[in-house]
Order: sequence, then C-alpha cells, then structure tokens
Amino acid sequence: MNLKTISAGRIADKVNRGELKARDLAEIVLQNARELNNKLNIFCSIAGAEALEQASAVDQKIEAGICLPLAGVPLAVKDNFMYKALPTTLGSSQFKSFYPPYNAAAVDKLIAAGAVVVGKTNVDNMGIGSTTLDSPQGPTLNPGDLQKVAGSAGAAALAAGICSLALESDSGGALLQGASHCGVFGLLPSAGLVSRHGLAVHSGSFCRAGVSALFPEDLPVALKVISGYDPRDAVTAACREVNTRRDKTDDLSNLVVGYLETLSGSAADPRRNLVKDTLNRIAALGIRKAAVQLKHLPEALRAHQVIAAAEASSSLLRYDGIRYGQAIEAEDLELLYRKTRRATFNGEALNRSIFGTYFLSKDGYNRYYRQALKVWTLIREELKTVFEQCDLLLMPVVRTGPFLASGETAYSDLLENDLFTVPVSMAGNPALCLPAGDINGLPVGLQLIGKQFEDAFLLSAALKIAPAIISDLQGFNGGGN
Amino acid sequence: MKYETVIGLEVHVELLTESKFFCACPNHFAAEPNVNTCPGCLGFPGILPQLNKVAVQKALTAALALNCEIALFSYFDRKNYFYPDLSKGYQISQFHVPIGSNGYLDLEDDQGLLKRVRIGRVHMEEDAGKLVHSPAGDTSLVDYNRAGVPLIEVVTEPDLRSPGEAKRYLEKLKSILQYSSVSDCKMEEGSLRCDANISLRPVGSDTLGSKTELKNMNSFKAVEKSLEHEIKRQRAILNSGDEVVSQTLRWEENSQETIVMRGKLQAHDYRCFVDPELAPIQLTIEEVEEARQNLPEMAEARAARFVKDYKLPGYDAAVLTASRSLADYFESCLAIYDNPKAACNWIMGEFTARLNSAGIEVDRCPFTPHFMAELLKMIDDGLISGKLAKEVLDQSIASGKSPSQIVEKENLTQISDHGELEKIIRQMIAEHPDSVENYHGGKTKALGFLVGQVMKETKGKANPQLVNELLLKTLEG
Amino acid sequence: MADVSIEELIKAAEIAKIELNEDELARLLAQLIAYKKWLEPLLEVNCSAYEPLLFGHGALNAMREDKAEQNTLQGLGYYAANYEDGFYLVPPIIE
Ligand SMILES: [Zn+2]
Repeated sequence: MNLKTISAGRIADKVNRGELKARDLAEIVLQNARELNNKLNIFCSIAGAEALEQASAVDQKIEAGICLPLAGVPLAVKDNFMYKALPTTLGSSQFKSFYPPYNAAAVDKLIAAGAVVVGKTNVDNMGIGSTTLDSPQGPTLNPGDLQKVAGSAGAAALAAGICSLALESDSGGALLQGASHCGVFGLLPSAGLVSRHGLAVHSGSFCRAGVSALFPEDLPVALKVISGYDPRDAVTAACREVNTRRDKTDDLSNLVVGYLETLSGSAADPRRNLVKDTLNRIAALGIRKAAVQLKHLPEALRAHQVIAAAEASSSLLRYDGIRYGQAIEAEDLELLYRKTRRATFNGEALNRSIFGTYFLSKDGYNRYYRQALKVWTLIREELKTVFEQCDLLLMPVVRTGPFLASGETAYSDLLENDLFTVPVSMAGNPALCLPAGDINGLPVGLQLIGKQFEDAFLLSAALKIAPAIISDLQGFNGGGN
Repeated sequence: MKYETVIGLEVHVELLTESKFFCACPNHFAAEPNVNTCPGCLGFPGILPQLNKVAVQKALTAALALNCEIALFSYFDRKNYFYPDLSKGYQISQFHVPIGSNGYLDLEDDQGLLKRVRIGRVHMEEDAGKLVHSPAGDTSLVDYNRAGVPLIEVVTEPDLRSPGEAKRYLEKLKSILQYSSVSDCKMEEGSLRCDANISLRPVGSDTLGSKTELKNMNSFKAVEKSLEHEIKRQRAILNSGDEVVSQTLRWEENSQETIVMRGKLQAHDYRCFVDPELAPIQLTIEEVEEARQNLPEMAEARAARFVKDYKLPGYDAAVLTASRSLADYFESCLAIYDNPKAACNWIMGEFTARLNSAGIEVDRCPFTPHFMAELLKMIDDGLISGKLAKEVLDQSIASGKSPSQIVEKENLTQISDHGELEKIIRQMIAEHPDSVENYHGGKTKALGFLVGQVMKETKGKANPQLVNELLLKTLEG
Repeated sequence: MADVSIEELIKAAEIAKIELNEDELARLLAQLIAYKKWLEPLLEVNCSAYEPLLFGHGALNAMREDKAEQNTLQGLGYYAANYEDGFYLVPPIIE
C-alpha cells in the first residue's frame, strides 16, 4: 500500500469497516520505515512489538463495534514528546536510553483515537531548531534531495510515504518550515489549543504542539483529536471560552485574503512570485485580496530570538544530571553540573543557554530583554491590524530552500531563517503550510494564517482553496520511494 | 557610643493545603524520603506547573490578615539558581508583583507602648527540597518531599528595634496565621522559618548601617538569642572602629554563636522573569472583599469574647487564646461541659503543664476535649477527687484511653457510700482513742489525723469532704 | 559591538554551569559578537508607545482543586544516576 495515495481518513475508514487490518498495515509500515530510515535518517527509534500491539488493540476494538477516527493510521512522533514505549532522546546523547514514565497528552489522545506510533522522529538538541543539524545522530535528509536537510523529520516521514500523520512541535517555525521543505501540509494550531503536557517545553511562550499530514483533509480530524483544555497545561485554559468563534466558511466570495505588500528584501525572488501566482489562482475562485503590512518583521525576528533564548536558558536548567539523564561522574558538585550539562547540550541549545543567561542578567535584561518584550507587543498589534483588514493572511514560510545536510551554513543565514514564521509564533495565531509550487526541484509551501482560535475556519477555508493551488497532489510529495 | 538596633524579618510560612503548589503530591510531612514526589516536583521534562487554588486563597487570606493592599492582578516569576534541592533549576516565586504589599502588624514595644511594624510584602513561592549530609562527609543526600510545597514569604520593613520585639512580632504573626488557618506555623517542623537582617547605627542616625543576615534559627528563642549575640558582635566591631561585613551568618544552636555561611546563599543574580507556563491570577474586588469578610476572629477578639461570654479573667482569656489550638480545645470542651472557669483552670494548669513537659502539641494530644469534659464531670459528681483526677489525666495522656475507662479499670471511683464510710470511721475511732480524746480536749488537729487515717484505709478513694462531715457527726453525736 | 568581552561570556557560562574549552569559547565569542551586531535593529525600534508583553497567552486563573494524589509511578529513583535508600545522591556540599 502506498501511503502517498491514500489519506489517513481513508485508511481509518477501511480499518473501521474491517476491509483492512491495522496489524497488517502496521507490519508493512514498520518494514518500510526500517528500509527508508537507512537512507533518510528520519527516526531516533522505530517501534516494533509496541506498534503491533497497538494495531492489534485497534483491530480488537473494531471487532467489538467501536469506531475510531484514526483507526490504524501510521503516526510519526517527534522525539521531544514523551512516549513510554520508546526512548525519548530529546536530541541529546545523554538521553539516548531515557524511557519516560508517562506519555504526552497528544500522544495518548492520538493512540486512543486509533493511531499507531511507528517511531520517534529525529529532533534538534533539546527540541531547539528547525534543521535537525543539531541532532546527535546527524540531520534527517530531504526525500526530494539527499544533499539537503528535511527540516522536520516528521515531514520527511510523510513525504517518504512512511507515515500518514506526524505529531510535531514548533517554537519558531520548525513545523511549518519542515512541511514547506518536504511538500506536506503542516498545521500549527492556535497557541493554547493543544496541550503540551509531555512535550519537553523549552520556551513556555512559543512552544506548541501541532500536526502534519500528506492530505489536508486529515488535519481537521487530527486537530479535533489532540485539541482542547487540559488542566495539565495552564495555557490551554485560554481555549475554554472560544467556542463562539467562526468555524467554517460557506461563501468564498466573502473571504478576504491578505498578503504582504512589501516582502522583506531578503526574500528570494522565486518565493515572491510564488505568492503572486498563488494569489492570482485564489482570486480566480472569487476571493478578494487585500494588501497588508507587517512593518517590523526583522525586528520581531530578533525579539523572538532574545525571548526564546532567555526562556530556554531557564527551562534547560533542570537538566543537571541529578534526577534523570546520564550524569558525568565528578567528585565535586560544580564539576558534575558543568560536565553533565556540557555533554547534554550542543548547537543552538548550548548557545541559548549561554546567551539567554546574558539576556536575563541585569545588563542584558535592561538592554535586550525588556526591549524584546516591547517589540513583542508591537508585532502583535501589527498582526491585529492586519486581521482587521482580512480573514486570512497568505505569506511565505521559508526564506531559502533547505540547508545543506553537510551543515555548511552561514551563521547569519541560520539567524535569519525564521523570518516568516516568528510572527505567528509570537501572536499565537494558527497557521497552515500548504505546498504551493516547486523551486529548484524542491517543494515550497506558503502559509495561510488565521485569527487565534479560528483554526476550524482556517482549515475549512484552506480545504476549499487548496485544490486551486495544488493541481497535482502527488506531485508535491518529493521523491521518497 | 550608644547604638540603635535595626531588625527586619523575612518569614517563610508553609501553607496548610492538601497538595503541593504546582502538582498533586500530598503536602504533609513524610518520614520516608522522596515518597511525596512525582515527575512534576522532580522537574522531569514535559511536566508543566498546575497552580493550586487553595494555596492562592490562603495567601490572599494571609495578606488580608496582615492588613496588606491586595494586587488584583499578580503572577509568578522564575528565580533561577542551581542547588541540588531545587529540582527545576528555578524557584517559582512572585518577584515582580507580590499578592500583598504595604501591610502592617501592631505590637507592644519594649516600653509597653503600641507600635506598628510595616510589612513590605507578602508573596507566594514554592519550597525547595532538603539536603542531608552523610556523616562521613563523602556525599550529600537530597529529599524532594518538601520541593514544591506552597509557601508565603512575609517581609517586614526594618522596623524592629530589639530581639524582644522581634520575638513578639513572630508570636503575633504566628497567632494570626494560625487563627486564619493559613499555616500551622510549627517552627520545629519547619513550617515557619525565619531569617533576620540586623544592623546597628548610632542613636539618632537615620541611615542604616551595613547589615548581616542570620539564618538557621529553629525556634523563637533561637531568633532572640541569635539577635542578641549578633548585636554584641556588631557592637564590638563598631567600637573597635571596624566596619561590619555584609554577609550571611548561620546560627549554631549548640555553640550559641554565628558562623559565616558558604555556598548557595551568597549574593546572586537570580535573573527573574515571568514564568510563561502559568496563567496570571486576576482577582475581583468582590472576591477580595468576600475573603476579607471571611477572615476569622483573631486572638484579641476571641479573648475579649471569652471574658464577656465565659466570665473569665482577662489574663486567663489571653493565655487560652494565645494559640488557636488551645482556644479551640477550650471551646470544644465547653460544648459538652458547662463550667468555663473549671475547664479554664484545668486546661491552663494541669493540662498545659503536661503537654509542655511531654512536648506534645495540643492538637496532637490523645487527651481530647471530650475526655477533658468527662474528667471534669467526674470531679463535679464527686466520683473522683481532684488528686485522683490528675492521676487519671496522666494515664489517659499516656494510654489514649478515656478517663471513664481508666477509672473503671483501676477501680478508682470515690467511695461516697455513707454506710461503708461510717463503718470505717467507727473502726478508726475505736483504733485511735487518744485522738478522739484529744479532739474532745479541743485539739482540732486530731480531726485531720482521723480523716487521714480513713483516707489511708480506703487507699485515697474516699470522698474527703464526706469523710470530714461524717466523722464530725460521729464524734459530736 | 565594543561591549562584547570574553569575560561576559565566561560569566554567563559559569552561571549556566556549562564547561567550555578554549575552542568553544572562541567560537561562541565570535558568534556572540555577530549575534549582538545582528540584534542592533531590535534596539533601534522606537517602542515608547508599547509596554513589555507579560504573557503571550490569554489564559487567566487556570487553577486546579486542592486534591492530593499520591504519585502512582513507581521507581522514579531508577532514573537517577545515583540513588540510594530513597535519596538522590550528590557530591558533598558544605553549607
Ligand atoms: Zn509532585
């Protein structure tokens, strides 16, 4: 069975009707995962007996007359979500055999809905990054170009046809950028809509859980499964009072899609053209366009960096080698801390631990952190104004194509990488990355952004718009097989 | 030179809740290490804090009871530092906006005049775990049972002027927090902890001298002693023309002196910032007013009521209401026994003396208010003498058995049977003709001797008043 | 920027308790210099009209009932490198 030609919804249908055994599918999928993993370096661990047991349990429930929305659907889980059955490495060599004692809320909900966890997908150290270059096992390769990174290993698992759904995390753009680079649909739900219980949160302000899929119609189903108030994540209390918001669009001619009138000069031309072409195709559906402005994108990017680093420097303090994780033996407490923490972190997590400490010190706080918090207010105001002029905002996801897997990327490019994804991160809006074309032979996505907690509306509109943008769905899924 | 002492106190008080501040682990003392822990309070990855509603309510109650202004909008910050007893590498604490500020507490100064001690802030924070050091000194042991227990920190302005004032402030604070059910304030068990800032300055000066911080005082007495010690030490330094070094000192109970602390508690940049994982707290004016209305009766009001309703002397009422648990004990006893003065005498006297010598807290004493009422009724009914009652009290405290069980088992009931007593009296008169003669000769002392003999014969179980009465009747008759 | 010094970096690494060797320090210093330069536009925004944002989320008064639950997960001590007789062990600390 080729997962690239069948949606998660259709798989669940077949399994629910008894036409397909979840267990049979799981065996094929696991085999496929093991084979393709050698080439793409997608997984930190691939499930074995656990997945088969899950699949059998699904089959038993179906036989007992229970209907499951994601019956038998192969699921990839990013390796910063806790999952008891497999190690949760957090992208750190010090956690390579860490079997957490609990499941993340989203993992539990997806399994309860019938999904089968195929494996834990590669992640940057401590979940910080959108390249997987900071993973101890090296980067996940892009199924469309093995010289390049995938960005998100979950997106790669989809593009390679190994899984139908991927549970993802995002704090600055990893989810959306990965979906863009791999040509899949990535949904970053509104902040506070999906519980982060069991996600190793390094930035309480920006970390979110989301989901990616090969088929856009699978996203509303997956979102329904994982969203909702969870007392174990205080921030989800915000979604308790929002059931009055718009949830679907009936008439596309009432819809106004905003676009950025002036894209930052750093955006490469082909991406600008992609937005223009897409807008034209959307306009053909009767949708109105509105030019809008986000004047402080570069400053927002910097503010996001400062705040995220500050929060990470604090959230990562718990990794001290005393209660869990491997400790480096030392006679003296100071050395124990210093050696263990050095061994635990690398790349961006290490940088943020140190730079973030500076941003929160008296000097750094007054100079950078406080200013970053003000710019945070500013960019939210700008987005608020934007959404007074339109229902949805269409803009690029990535500045450039995926980075080289060899890791030869200029520091300045790394810093600029999240330019188009931080506004959503900072304002809490939902965003959907949808494949919109090819540049240099690799898929490129655009994001549709909605108002906070209007996720259902965003998805409903996107499903109506998607066919106009994507003429040939299969063509976007890279070249995995 | 004459110096004035300037003292400020920082008091940490554990809140009386069922569960911890940010996880559901039980908030009670456990003998075994690390049994009251979970992934949350152990700082495991992926566990977010879940704020305890009652802890917030108790902090609000405390702030109101301490006459604070209430911040309707407040939130939690992270105070970042490394120490093995701190499981997340930061303490969740209210740094920027405390729930209460600008409060005060009135007490008597050393001259007996009323003075107002300003309370700068009352804020919420979580407790850390505990470190134990192995006797061999080769390792330290960490117990996280206390990690994440809800606390409030009550910080005074530098308004206290003597160790005695400091002690009275603590007593008053303890009484208020106990009365409002905020905390049990048991310093010996660590549910109330006090750090003191102290400096000296020349009398008449209004600038503060350089201060030292005192830690590790385990009782109010230790607070007083350590401050007295520190005053002497600082005065000697100042008199010799040196300057007091600003540092943290640790009180050593055994040697009764202070030593300089090393390690974590020296100056730190805590890099405080808002904890983004928690929702802020927004109180309404109505909620605050309701909490204010619901503040319980405090010690002074209760003492006044005791004087008025139970006709107790002012002194007695003050002693009984000094701690809420003793006052509660008294009133529970009165619910089933209607002689307030007798109950008061026994509770203040015999009962309290025994608690003190045994080192038991009122609310943990097996001799319940119900038992006390039973005992007092037995005295009133003449079933046992006052002397016997003390014995019964001892046995009841030791065994946990009720007074009636003990009296019955030990066959201690007073002999009040006239016939039986008259028989013994006649026997004693026959055995001591000399005494009878002496009595008739006007030596009233002889009567006492004869009563004694009857009591001896009955092993003290005779009702002494009745013996007296019957003996007189027999001798005169 | 002129105010980037190796001392500043060493101090931050000390507070963060991360051991860095000479090479790493040199790499981080170069990055910090580039980083601070890159951050300059942030400092140039006129934010006089804006207050610092306290919370990115709109949650308010998210609290749980005060109910105690003994943790049912057994053997959390197993996760520690050094755990004995119910205690977590660390190198000796002098207070
Ligand atoms: Zn706990």
